[in-house]
Amino acid sequence: MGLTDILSRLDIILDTKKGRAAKQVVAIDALVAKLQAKEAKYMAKKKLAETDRDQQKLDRKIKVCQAQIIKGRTAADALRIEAK
Amino acid sequence: MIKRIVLPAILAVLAFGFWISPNFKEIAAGVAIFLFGMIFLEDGFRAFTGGVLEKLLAKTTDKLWKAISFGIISTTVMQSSSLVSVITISFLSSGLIGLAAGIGIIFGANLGTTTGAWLIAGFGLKVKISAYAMPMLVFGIILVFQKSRNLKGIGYVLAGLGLLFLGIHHMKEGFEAFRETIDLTQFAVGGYLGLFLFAAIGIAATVIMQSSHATLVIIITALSVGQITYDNALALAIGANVGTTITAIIGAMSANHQGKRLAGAHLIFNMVTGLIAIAFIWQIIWLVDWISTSVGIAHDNYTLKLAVFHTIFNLIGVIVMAPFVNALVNFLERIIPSPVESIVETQFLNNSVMDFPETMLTAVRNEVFHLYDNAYRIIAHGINVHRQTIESDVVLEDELKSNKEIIRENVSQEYTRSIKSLHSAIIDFTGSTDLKLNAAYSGHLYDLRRASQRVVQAVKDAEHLQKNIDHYGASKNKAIRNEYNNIRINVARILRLIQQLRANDPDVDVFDLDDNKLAAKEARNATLRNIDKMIRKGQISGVMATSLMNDLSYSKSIISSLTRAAKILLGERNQDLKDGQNIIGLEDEEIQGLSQTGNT
Repeated sequence: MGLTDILSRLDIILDTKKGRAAKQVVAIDALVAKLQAKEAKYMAKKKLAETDRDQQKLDRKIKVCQAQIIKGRTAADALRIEAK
Repeated sequence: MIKRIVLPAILAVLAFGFWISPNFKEIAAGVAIFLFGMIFLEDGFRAFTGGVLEKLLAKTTDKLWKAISFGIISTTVMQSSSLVSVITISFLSSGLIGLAAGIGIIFGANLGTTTGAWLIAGFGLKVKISAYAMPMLVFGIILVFQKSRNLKGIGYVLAGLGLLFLGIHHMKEGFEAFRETIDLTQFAVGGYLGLFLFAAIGIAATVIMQSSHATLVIIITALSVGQITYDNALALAIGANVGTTITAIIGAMSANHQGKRLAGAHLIFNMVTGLIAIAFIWQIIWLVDWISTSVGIAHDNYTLKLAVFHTIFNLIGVIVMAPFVNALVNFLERIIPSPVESIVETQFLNNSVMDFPETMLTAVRNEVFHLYDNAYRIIAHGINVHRQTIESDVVLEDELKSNKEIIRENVSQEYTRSIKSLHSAIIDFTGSTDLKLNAAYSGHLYDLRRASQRVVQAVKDAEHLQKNIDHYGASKNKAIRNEYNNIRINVARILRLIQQLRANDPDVDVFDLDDNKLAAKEARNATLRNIDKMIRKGQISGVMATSLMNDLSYSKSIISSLTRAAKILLGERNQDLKDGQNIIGLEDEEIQGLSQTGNT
């Protein structure tokens, strides 16, 4: 482990602005991963949907998931730059 | 009346003692300094823990051995079983831990507190601890004046330890000088009479000083200079153990029924332990001698042997009582029954939770849930839906369209009775505690207050909605009846989703609140688009259309308020994940945008 690694870990531990951003990136990435799994689950369900009502419901759910994923990724990217 | 007599009597006895004996004055001053140190130490740990202790405590609920271990460790570190008892009572009152876990912590605290005797007997009397006291006091007081809460806390702890050491030093000096003028062992009483007499003195001394530690220090220092016999010292230690329960009982007076049960458990445990110690005193003394010889404690080192005795009899108490924790819980629940659950009175907000930020937040959160439970019933009945329907698996669309039952709930009256007073109590409570908290906790508290306000707003909107729901929901006009049923379905959906989230249903998460909001938005847009068509076709009148548009607005407000409240109450508790959820969650404009786009 180099000095940079130690310093970046200390940054996180001491909860400086960079450290805070790094912790938030980890949290958002975890949430986005869960949303992606959820989206995949809805996609799979959609293929099996029998009624129009179920199809529309799943379409809406997928749409919301995608919007949330995009928001999460955008925020995480911005925070990643802040954390560097 | 007794209070009026007791205090002047104590003061008079002390003044007389000071007048006739400077040595007694030194011992009494030592006790006073020691108790002052205890206050500093407890204040320090309260500030210093900053929620860490409470977070740890919250994790010791699943297993009895964990709870006992926590009690041992925390009391060993803080050297105050009283503080651990008070924190545990506040945890119970706030609903964060169960009674069995609380009892486990108290058992552990009893064992942990015996380390005090070891420290005093093994360290306090062997070295000149007053030499350590002075620098501790100086560093401590400097830190006490710092702005940082943590530094202030460390300062209080250091100053507290300094005062404890100084107090022990003065007690030791006083007893040593006392030995030259009077031999207290001439008042020694042997046999069981002495055992009961000195146990009673130990109880009285601890009740007056409210610190078993202080009593033990006096016992150990007096024993070290031969002013009391070993047998009488053991009896005093047993008495100190029983007397210490008074702190928990006083702490429980302002707590709810759970806190009172815990204080009861504490009293029972210490009484049983004390009785076992008295009944088997000779066997325990033999065991102490055997252990002392085995670990190399000299035969005449009575202070360390007292420490061994203190640990042994508390350990026996834990071993004897631990298998009966569930029976003890049942017994306490029977003799201190839960009050009839009131929907109009607060259940979790009381003075015992105010000193500890994490506990206080949990209590407020639980109280907002209590408020929500009332609101849930009122709103569900306001739209003529039973809660069983919402909590069942039935398809809401089918059930609500076929069921025309009107539930006679007076939303307006219920709002005044079970919402307004509770919300006011939450506002009053959070307003009075806000100043004691740091920024992070204040932020959480502010969020909870906002959630409470949102729940209230939802009920107020339901009050407006109810009249037309009742009127048009049962109308013979199919078009208007359908539209009002759609409103009912949308409101029922958010109620169902919140119940699912509360039940930790694996099929839903907080992000589904956005999906629900979009679904409601799309349904509302469809109705709004349909209104003109219905008027043109003569299916509804202008008056009906006006009512429908107003009520769509109320239903939108209910859904929006409950969504916001649910995000606060049911979102992640970890700050980083919570921030992440807030970032990812969709705003109203974004949901508006999604409602205007086509499907994927």
